[in-house]
Amino acid sequence: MKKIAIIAGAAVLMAAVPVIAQQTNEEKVICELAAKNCLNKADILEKRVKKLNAEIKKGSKAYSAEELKKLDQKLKETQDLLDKIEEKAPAK
Amino acid sequence: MKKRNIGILLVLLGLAAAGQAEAAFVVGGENGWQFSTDGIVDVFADYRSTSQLPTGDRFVSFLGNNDQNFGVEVGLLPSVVAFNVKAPTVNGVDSTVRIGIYPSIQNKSQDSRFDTSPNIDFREIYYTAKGRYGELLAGRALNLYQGKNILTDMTLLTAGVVPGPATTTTLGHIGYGYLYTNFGPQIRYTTPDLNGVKAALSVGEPYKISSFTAKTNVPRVETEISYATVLGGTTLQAWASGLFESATRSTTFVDANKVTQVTPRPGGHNTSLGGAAGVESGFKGVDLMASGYYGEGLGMISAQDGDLFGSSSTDGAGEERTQWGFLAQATYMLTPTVKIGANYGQSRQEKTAFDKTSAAFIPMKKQEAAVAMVTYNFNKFTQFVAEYTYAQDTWHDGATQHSNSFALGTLFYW
Repeated sequence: MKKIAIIAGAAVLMAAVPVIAQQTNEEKVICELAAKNCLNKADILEKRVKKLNAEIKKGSKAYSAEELKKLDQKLKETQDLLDKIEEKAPAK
Repeated sequence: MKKRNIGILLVLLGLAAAGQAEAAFVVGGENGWQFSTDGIVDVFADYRSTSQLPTGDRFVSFLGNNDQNFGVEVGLLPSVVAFNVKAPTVNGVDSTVRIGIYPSIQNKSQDSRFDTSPNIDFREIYYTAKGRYGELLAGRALNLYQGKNILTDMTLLTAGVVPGPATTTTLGHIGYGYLYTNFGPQIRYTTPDLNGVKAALSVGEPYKISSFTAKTNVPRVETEISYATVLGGTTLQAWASGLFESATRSTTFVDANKVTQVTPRPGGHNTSLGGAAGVESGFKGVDLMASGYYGEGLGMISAQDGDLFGSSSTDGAGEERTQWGFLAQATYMLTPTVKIGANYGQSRQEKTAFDKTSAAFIPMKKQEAAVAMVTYNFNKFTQFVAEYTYAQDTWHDGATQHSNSFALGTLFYW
């Protein structure tokens, strides 16, 4: 019984798949075959980080304090997702 | 007993920790030039059992004929040896070269154990120049039309339908959910990424549309528009692609008895015109995909069968047949190393007015296949695959033929 519980517990841990995983071998092959014109999660997120940084830099001239806070939050979320893909420690 | 339980736990956690892909190794870089290589060794052992081929003059079957066969061969994608060269960035333009060699491992046929030809296939040799204006690609690469349909099929890196005749690869869902777009010589322009949207247009070498094509003096034009994004934890991509080519028919031909005959619709034109689209979304390990195509003058195996495989693009009167198909798929990452998946696809062909009146030749109506697979990533570069495939052909007279196949394979990536 205990053995089953341990194995079941391990299976649950294994099932906790990261929301966005690092690029798999399959994805790499697909990207190469498509001459790099593919769903590249890291590329998409990097562009988003750049765009958000550019918007935040516009500061209070373009955005209210509330909007800037939202942009900062969005930037942190996007950076965390990117770090997961690139296997870096998430931003604190 | 307790130690044994801990051991089991450690083994399971170890399997869970076996990670995903790493980049191919890179040489150089100091002076702006870089060289890298990537590739796959791809080996499948498959067993196929096929029912009797119905009698009569009918469109070719790719499933064999009342036979059972065991083979050790590559899957849908052959093995790959690829070399990449990156040049220094000049005036904001990044230039790269890719040379992809795709060898099969099996002999030409099981009757010719010393004949390995053609086991080398230079599918890719192109350069790209990418800047703020977008990207120019020149050379031999995967064609655009239905390119994403095959790339999103889970059997791209497994076996799928195991054909009866000796071929350089298995079929995946080629002719059983999409048509094979092939690798071809082309010049392609792709726009910059506009909020996830990219559009591409390529001019390629024209293919024969039927066995009666006389002139291929007009380029084949292909296009693709694609969209990709990440929304929170959800990935989403969608695409649409198109193909257009027109070719002139011959006026006479030499028949099987070496007698010169007048071609049906002598000197007329045939057109290959096709559209394709698809959507794929992934969330928490679940990935759902649906794709399809519709067109005329295409074929039942490759996107433009031309004079191959019974010349299905056109009928006996020289008119284009209409073909369409779809593929639906679901995969799930059961653990970080184990993925399960299933898909089902059909490729269909409509009867023309000539087909309805002619009893001489029976065209194919439907080719369908269902695949169930499980893949296991042993480590970052070694993968194992187990797969079952059911395939069935249905001709326009209602006759059918089916096959069952099992494949066990392994892939090594670098």
